Amino acid sequence: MGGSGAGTVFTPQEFDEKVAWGLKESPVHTVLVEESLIGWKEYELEVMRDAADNFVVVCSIENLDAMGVHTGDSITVAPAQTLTDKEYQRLRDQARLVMRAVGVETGGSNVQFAVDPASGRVVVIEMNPRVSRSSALASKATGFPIAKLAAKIAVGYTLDEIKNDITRQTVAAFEPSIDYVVVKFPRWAFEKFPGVDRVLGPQMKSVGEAMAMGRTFAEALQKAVRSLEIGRDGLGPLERDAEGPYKGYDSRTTRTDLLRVPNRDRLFAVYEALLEGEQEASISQLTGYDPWFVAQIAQIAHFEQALTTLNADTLRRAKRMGFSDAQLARIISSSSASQSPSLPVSESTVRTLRHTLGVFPTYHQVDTCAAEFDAYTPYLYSSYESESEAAPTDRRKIMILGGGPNRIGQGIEFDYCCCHASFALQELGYETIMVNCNPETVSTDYDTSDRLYFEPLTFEDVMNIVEREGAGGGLAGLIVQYGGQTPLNLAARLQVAGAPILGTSPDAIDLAEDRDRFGALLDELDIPAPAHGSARTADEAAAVASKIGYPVVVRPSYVLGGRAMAIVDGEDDLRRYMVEAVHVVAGKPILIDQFLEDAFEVDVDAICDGVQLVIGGVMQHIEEAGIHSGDSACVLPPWKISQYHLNIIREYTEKLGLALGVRGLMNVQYAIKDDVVYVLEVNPRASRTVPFVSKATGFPLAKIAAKVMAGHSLQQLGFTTEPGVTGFFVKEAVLPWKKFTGIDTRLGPEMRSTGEVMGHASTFGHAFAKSQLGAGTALPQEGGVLITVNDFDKGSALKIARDLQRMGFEIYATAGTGDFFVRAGVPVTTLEKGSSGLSGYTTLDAMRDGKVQLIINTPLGAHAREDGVRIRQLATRLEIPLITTLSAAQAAVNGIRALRQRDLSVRSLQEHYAQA
Amino acid sequence: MPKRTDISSILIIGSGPIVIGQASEFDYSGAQACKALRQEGYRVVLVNSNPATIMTDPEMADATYVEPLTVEVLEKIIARERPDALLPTVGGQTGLNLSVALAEAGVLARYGVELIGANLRAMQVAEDRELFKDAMTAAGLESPRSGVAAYAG
Repeated sequence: MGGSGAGTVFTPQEFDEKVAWGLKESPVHTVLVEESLIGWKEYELEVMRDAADNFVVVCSIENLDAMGVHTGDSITVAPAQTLTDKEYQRLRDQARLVMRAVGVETGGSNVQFAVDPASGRVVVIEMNPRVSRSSALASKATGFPIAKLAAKIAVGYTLDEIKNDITRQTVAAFEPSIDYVVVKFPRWAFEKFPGVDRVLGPQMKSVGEAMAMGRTFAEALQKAVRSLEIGRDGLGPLERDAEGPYKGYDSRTTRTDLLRVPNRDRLFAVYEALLEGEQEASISQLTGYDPWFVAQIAQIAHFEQALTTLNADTLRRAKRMGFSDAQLARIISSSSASQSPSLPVSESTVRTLRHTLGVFPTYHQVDTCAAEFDAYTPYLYSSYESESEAAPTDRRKIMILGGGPNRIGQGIEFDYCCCHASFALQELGYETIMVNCNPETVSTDYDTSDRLYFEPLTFEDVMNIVEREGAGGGLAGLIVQYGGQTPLNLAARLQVAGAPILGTSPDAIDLAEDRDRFGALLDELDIPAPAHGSARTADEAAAVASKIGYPVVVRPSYVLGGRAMAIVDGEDDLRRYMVEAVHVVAGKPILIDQFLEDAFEVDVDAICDGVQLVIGGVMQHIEEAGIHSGDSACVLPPWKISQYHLNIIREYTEKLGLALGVRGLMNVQYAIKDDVVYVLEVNPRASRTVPFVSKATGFPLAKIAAKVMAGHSLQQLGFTTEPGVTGFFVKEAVLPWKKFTGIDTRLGPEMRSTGEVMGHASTFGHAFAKSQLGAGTALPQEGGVLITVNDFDKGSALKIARDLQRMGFEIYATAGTGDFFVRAGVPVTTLEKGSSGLSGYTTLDAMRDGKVQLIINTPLGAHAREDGVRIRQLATRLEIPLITTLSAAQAAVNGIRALRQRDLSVRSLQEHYAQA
Repeated sequence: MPKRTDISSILIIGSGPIVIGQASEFDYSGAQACKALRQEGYRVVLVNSNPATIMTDPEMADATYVEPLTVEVLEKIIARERPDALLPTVGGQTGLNLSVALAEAGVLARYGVELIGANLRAMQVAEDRELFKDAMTAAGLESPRSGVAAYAG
């Protein structure tokens, strides 16, 4: 799955290296060698078959990127655009044969084809006899619910017996027909993984995707680009660093390289090349993009070049090609031929002009049938046509802004919250309107909300919907606090433009982010916080840090997931950081905090209605301060925090919620060091831990809070006391090390996990052991443990080593750690360091020989030592559980002890709640 | 054809934590499947280790297990819940692989659990490059020219 370990080789020498590596790394010691179809066109068909041998093609999908790039990393288009009907029918017939040949009697499948553009030769690449990423995309693209139908035909129904929810007239045996174009665009997170090869290939590297719909390919493509939230308002040239080279690439990289080698910026390289007059044929040849696609993109580029003035005609034409207001403002402002160069053109100027000239978007239904039948589920996208479908109702309604494409730090947890907001508000009788552009979600299912707008989450696109849905006066408000940072970044502008924001005010959210205002509030409430300041320049930062004292935690404001967050030990590092960080968030200040070394960290989720605050859950992080909360395991209820400190935490949380005027969810992070409770940050919005706390307590926090935002009090809702928790619930983060080999896997203040698992049990040890098992790194119950820790950790590591040794584990260590243990009476097998260059038996040898079943390795300082890096990298490759903090090691000892005493048992949530 | 009445409870295996290549699209597919099967009156037993999903909301299934996705743990759940059938196709590659592993380990046979929605042979053929290639060739379809190399030393 996701193409792990796959690669392409071009020379016999590369072949030898890669195959030798693969044979060694493969769990079954085999390697598949396959002819490369690089440059061939790639298509997918989403098909279904039932027990009566009814067969439907739900959707055809064409990859813009030719074969050689994992389909999850390709820009894809539905329906296929460059097939003739005859070619399409051929693929259709073959897909049917593939299903039969594989033996899929009933169900949905995805069949992938490669077509040689020169000879027309068709090759079946693979098929998945299950619901896949592509079938989710196909479901969203067509409104045809593949998973639901797969479930129904699995229990015996045939496609002609299942009614289509959208039309209520047709049946599922009708193949969907669509009168629009859908583009999916992946989103990558390379900035979080320095050193990872950015070239795209057979192993998937993207962490999320956006989907957009339009009446033309051009419109859908441009909408997809602005949906990605990568700082682009539509198509545009490549980004350059101030010094000249293309941003993110070394200085020797040319545009031709970016066209030829698959990478995340290739489409923009194509656009830039077209703007600069390169031949379409040569671009098509370099990229492998079908000439039709290049011609379409060229039309957009030519329009941009010819655009000098905005009037009703050019605006309408621009909009039909997907240009955004911001993009048009940018183009007109930079156009030398602009007729009124004295007037700066802004996004709002374009918007006002558009309104004056009557150029408004129209909304169209995704109805599976190209408007042949009436549609009953308003699933909508915008375009600029003459007439809209699905007029707004006169019901009282609330709009929920989703989180956009998944990224590290903003993923499924926020989609969960948005869905819950919709469910809760429907219970209160509101019509709910969801706006989102991420096809990999439940929020964009057509039956999650009353109305679904599959649209980019930009000011322009959201405000257009607000104006449409608000025209009748029934729009009670928008929920912007549930979709992560994406809607929050729009909140202030939406409010200024007249959109009613529900719940905690954007100003209170800003107060919590603004160091000066927040610091003043903490002083007023007499709540301690780490010494802190903010800076916009390196000199300012150095002055602030020397006042606070190193080490300090530095991070940009207004980001999620600890983007560019770091711990710095001295001024040189700080100055280097400031240079890099300024690129990440131009114009926003950098926050500088005192770093509380070895502190315990605590997360609290709470709901406040302005009068009363009720805590949903208090979680203790397993990893100590300095590891991002999203990458740290945590336990509910707290495992090792005294009642005294918990009471202080509860008191501070209440004070903060009431003082900020929170109406809805709030998350507070605390650190406890030397008996003092410090507030690290307050986020008056949905947090990543809300679903976890809800599952652990049985109280749906996001739902309750959504009702509070709609005006109900906690008293009315009957949620007035902190829920008790029976047993222990541990959440563990899951990190993408296996996909990004060759980078250091130590944890830090920048979040890098993609997902999470939960383990629950009556004891902490069992719950922790389950969380590790769920995360794919089962704790061993016997064997060898390699312990290499820094000098500061040796004392605490001794207890861990002794416990493990008493349980029968063989302890391995390098000389430094080993001597210390031996002197303290713990028998140790000493190994050479992997980087020592000596001929002895090294840590890496012992790992390769299967003698090590668990590794405890604590790095020190900002500069990881080479031997530690090599241990960690090898551990990832060999899938040996690796623990990089002593607090997690202590938890692991608890887990191992629990497992040795009693095997894991299982219990459903329903049973748990009934007995709790 | 009417729906089957010889089975009454169905096990669904989710896709676990979000990883690159397997994201929240399987929350969408799993949640849809749970809803559809419960509407048809089946008892749904769901297993997924990922608490941040809509599908693990307690009202989505009759019994929701937020437990590690391993063959051993799934066997314990099957032993307790005794589902009649297993729907292996809505939990991504993870759900499919675990279903195949449960079948191959004899767990499904031991507890009388029937695979529905995809049969074991089809899953094996789709997963194994050589079996797949043979199947394509037999059907007169072309697949990439290939061979498998095994480690000899």
